[in-house]
Amino acid sequence: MKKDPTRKCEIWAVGGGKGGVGKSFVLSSIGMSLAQKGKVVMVDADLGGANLHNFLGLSRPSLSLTDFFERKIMLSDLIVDSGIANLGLLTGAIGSIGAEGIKHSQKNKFFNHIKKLDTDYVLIDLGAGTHFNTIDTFLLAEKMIIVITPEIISIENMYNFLRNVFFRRLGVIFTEHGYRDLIMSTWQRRAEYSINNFKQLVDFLRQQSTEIAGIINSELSDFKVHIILNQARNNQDIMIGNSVKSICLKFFGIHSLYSGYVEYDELVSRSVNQRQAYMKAYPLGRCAREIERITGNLLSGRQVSIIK
Amino acid sequence: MNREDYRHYFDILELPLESSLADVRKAYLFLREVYTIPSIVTMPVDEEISSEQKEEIVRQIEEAYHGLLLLFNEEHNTTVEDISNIVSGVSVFDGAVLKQIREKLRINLDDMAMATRIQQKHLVNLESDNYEALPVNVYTRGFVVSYAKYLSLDPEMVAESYMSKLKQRKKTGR
Repeated sequence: MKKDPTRKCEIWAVGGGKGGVGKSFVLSSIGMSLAQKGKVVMVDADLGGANLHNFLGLSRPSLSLTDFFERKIMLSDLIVDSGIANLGLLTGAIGSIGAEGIKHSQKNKFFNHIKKLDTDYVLIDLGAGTHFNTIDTFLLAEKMIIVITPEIISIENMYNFLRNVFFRRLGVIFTEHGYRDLIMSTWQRRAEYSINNFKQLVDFLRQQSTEIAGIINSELSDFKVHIILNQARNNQDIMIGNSVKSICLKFFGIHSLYSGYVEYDELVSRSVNQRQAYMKAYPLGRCAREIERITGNLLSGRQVSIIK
Repeated sequence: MNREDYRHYFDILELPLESSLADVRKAYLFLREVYTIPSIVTMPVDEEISSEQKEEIVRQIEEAYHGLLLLFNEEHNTTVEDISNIVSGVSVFDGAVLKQIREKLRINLDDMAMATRIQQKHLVNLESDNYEALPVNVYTRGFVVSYAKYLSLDPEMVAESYMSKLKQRKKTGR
């Protein structure tokens, strides 16, 4: 979102609601590709089920974010060497705390420390689900990236995640303008106002006052997510990214960029199981080239065009 | 005529102002399909809008496409017919028909060769039905498929039609 002058690094976050769509694979591969252009720290913020290290071909690091939350160790002292030049890893923790176990003050401190990391890029891998701590971490990023697969459940979760993210963002801005709980109280009385969906809720809020309409319009025009489609098996699958982008705009008024796709390759799961980083093991593979292209597109703002 | 006046139509087709006629046609066909045929992309948001609103989206897409055809007519001072009308009247997609459609869409062979990565001499032979000069059938078919895709035609249907004429001519020796 907006650039904070005290911030040293650019934050990219990958989320998307559903588990198993390849968020960690996509993020870790982009991280390896980006490390050729600048200093990168990857943060595994899937606090309940950290697994990013597997995609880098590492065993579980002994230091983790738990040490930050529970033992107050500096974030910069918890970054472990990934074995790849320019790329550090801050890992989550299995079992000790989930996203819901983080207190508000801890979260703010965590965000402040992330922003001050001495690196060019921070890449954050989020857990599945739409807990507000997950969403707040997503909203911290300059580049908000959603990974989907060509499956109905993934797409449904993506829409749901996106709506939640946008309303969370809008809620914060409304609160700043003195309209605390406006969204919640409107939604609770939705039957009375005959509001059935996202668009009707947004339209209803817009009608409340020109100030509110102005806030919504400005937030909608600033808000932008990047879509990456994983596990494409044919051109029809690839086009799903274009379709989703159109639906987000026409149904929700939300702008997105279709930043790229990765074709299905069984070597991906094989390399994870063998504790090899795909990008290192198969640098000339098709997925590796697609990841390079996505990284370039994320940096430049280019998109996948309609290929049919 | 200023393109800025047509921004609304470009927005509906989700295209930048500098788009070509071929881009416009591609976007139109794509969006029309998204909003008329239920898919895994639209089914999860079926509840989100009413069928009237959905019809309104399709109507706007049609209006934007036809509005932009007028813009391209004015810019070129000639008439671009709706390609769908030409295509529906075609019985055999031979080289001459393909060339006619390409020219109507104002796509030149340089762009086509670059986008399809087919050497220009093959494209010329394809369009002039110069079957003897074309490579073996399996390659030629691939060329026709790429050619048709670039014009946003149905590649299977066009290739089927083109190849059956080619095979017949080769068999009978003209």
